[in-house]
Amino acid sequence: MSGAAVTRSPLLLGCIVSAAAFLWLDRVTPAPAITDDAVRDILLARDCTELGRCSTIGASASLRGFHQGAVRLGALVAVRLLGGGVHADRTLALVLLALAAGTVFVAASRRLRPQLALPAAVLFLAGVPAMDYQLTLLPDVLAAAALFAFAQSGAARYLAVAAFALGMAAGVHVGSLTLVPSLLALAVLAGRRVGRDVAAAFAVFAATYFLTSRAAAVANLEGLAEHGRLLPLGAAAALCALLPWPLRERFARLLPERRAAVAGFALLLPFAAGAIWLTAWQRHELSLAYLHPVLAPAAAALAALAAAGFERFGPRRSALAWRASAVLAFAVALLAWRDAAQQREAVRQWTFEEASAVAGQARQLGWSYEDLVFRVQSSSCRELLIGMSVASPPTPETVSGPSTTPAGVAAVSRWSSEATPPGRRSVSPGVPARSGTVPSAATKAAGKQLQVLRAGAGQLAALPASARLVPLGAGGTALVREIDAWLRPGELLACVAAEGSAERRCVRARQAGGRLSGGESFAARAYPEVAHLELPPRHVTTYEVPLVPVAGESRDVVLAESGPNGCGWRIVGVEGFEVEGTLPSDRVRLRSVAGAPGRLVFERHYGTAACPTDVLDRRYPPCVFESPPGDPLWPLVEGRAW
Amino acid sequence: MVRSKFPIAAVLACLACGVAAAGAQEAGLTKNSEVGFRRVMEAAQRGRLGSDVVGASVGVEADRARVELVGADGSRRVLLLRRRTSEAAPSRYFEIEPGSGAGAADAAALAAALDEAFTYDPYQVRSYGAAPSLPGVAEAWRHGGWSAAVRVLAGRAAVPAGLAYQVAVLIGTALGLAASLVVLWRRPHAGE
Repeated sequence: MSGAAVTRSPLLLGCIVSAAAFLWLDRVTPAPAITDDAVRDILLARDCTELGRCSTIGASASLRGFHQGAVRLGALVAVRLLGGGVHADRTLALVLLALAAGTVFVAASRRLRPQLALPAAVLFLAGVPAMDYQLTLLPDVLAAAALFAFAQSGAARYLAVAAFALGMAAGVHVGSLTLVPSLLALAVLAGRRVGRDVAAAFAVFAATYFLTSRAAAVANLEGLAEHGRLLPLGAAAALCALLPWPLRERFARLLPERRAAVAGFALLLPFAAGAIWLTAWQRHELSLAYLHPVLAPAAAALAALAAAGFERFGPRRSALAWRASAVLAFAVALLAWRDAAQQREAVRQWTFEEASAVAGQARQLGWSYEDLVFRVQSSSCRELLIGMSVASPPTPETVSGPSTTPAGVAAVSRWSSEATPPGRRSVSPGVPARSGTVPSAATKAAGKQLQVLRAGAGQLAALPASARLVPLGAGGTALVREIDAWLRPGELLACVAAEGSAERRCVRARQAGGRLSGGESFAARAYPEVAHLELPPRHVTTYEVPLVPVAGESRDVVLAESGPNGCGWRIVGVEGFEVEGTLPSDRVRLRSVAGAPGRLVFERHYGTAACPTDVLDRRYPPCVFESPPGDPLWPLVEGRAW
Repeated sequence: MVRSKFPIAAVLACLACGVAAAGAQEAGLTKNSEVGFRRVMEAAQRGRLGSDVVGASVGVEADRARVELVGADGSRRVLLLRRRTSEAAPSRYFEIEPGSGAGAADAAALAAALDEAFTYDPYQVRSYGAAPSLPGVAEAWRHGGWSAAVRVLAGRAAVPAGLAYQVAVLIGTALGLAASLVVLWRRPHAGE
């Protein structure tokens, strides 16, 4: 692919680059991981497609007072309306990314130099795995490319495209708003009729953002007003408009290549200023994931720098410079994706497809999603649970009609400021009943729990008759078994104590009856938590889980998750049982003589002196596996690295 | 380039449609009110709700809240909160009704703590298809001026949209993205 070829047919080559990018992305991008945000978004999309309640606001942003928009939710809704699921979500995301790469190629070839097109597109793809909000990359790229084109041509249609794309990008992630000053400054610098161009661009931007994310737009405006940011923003906008004004004529006399350089500077400078403000004044933990607004301009700039470096070797070798740049870009991209793949492999959890398969088996065994909350015994039990929520059908009350309870209230229902004196355990009265049509009892008996274990092909020889096999794809299998558990996590007592404090705050599990919530919406399934306790930055969480044993029998309980060295969950206490071994431990054998109830105490440290601060307390009980001694499944559990 | 005023007019019309498409709604206490209620609880712990008060717990359901003041002797006094409907309400945002064991002094102390704790209106508009509680924009303007009208508009915008609205937005954004790609990918006009 020579520079001349790129000059002749950038459109065709852009299509080829897009197709190649899609094939490559499809090969190297793993199945979507189950995360809280992903699950919440899919559940909100189900609210829209199945209940007709479409959210126009996304999650709270890390910058206080801001909310993300609803464009990502819109994409999920579109996929579901067309009959797709999680796999189709991934395909759509990859198609948009591939189009973004193709746009980088075409824009670089037309607006910069043809030789830079391929290196810029490849360097752009190299940055993709580091981005958290990949859906915003296409509108970000469109905005940047349109601004480059506008800077060189002054044609208002490019400014309109940039404004539309910015409205879309801001509807995915508020970070893209850092491109608004660039748009304003370039509109003043390169516009033919500045007043009309700016007004039209603002109208297009505002309309796009408002129509796609109207609740977020209102919330963000209110947030700006509440935090006293409207006036500074207005002043900044005035500066962006006034400062370039005296430079208009000078800018008009520049060569197109110089104008592109100025446009690149105008795109990067506001983002850099915003980044400095965020880190220095807002103490924001800015990472590479937030670079998406300037990823494409940065890739083009890096490509230009690399080519310039090679060209310094002499004019005879300049023909080879772009090839060397392209090779360098490919090398960087391969290294970036290999690194990302290794990191993902290290934290492999359940996938949506696997969770969906397990949910199907659970349904056949008579388990509804609400029955399963706190009652799935597996590794990464919470992730598996929320993954299953995506595929689980609505409960009868969900489809029976709107609830009288506003969303969000369900998660608020009770707080208490009372502190538990040292040595005193139970303080808070039970959680008041929620409004709406919430059944008071689970359909599954309180003692039932569902065990899910991954197994390899060679481990399926001696299985108990009660275990069901669930194919997981790629040769994997899950064993699913219903058991009569001794543990009663739905009735546990959760306590939190600040590091070094003997004073604990405690609350009973919010799901005493076995059901999590009413039928407000599917989104109510997101973020399952046992209790809403205020969490100090450095604290110790304790769960006291009641045990209902069978007289004369024994039971092994093992923690099915690990944590950082010395900072994971531990079993620290047992009441009412004979215990073999010493505590604290990650496993315990309980023997009940008379069948009297007891309790098992789990503990975990968060952010304390010896423990990392980046591990979140999910307010969810630890994942455990319990079975009677001699259980045929025990070899699958024993010695396993969770 | 199209040189008509149609785009801006269309944009304004779309904005108006978006606002008008907002369905029925009701105002309730959402999770956003948690911060304010926690301030009230901290005030109780500091003795700001009475020298004999050592703590408080708050339960929220829909548009009502139940505040329980805990005395040093373990006694409990209950006050019920609902959205302010009268000018004579003791608190900026709440009507306060003394319940079991509570008196006017408790209500006054709680009102002061609530006003201090809530620097924003804790009642937010949510839509659930029934029981519209916001007035129309014109009616709001007549009774409360431009600020009330803006508030009603903002409230309507915060309401979840219907599926038809979402589909219309999806079609519009898909067309917009496709048009943007065409504009950026095709050969520039001569001189551009």
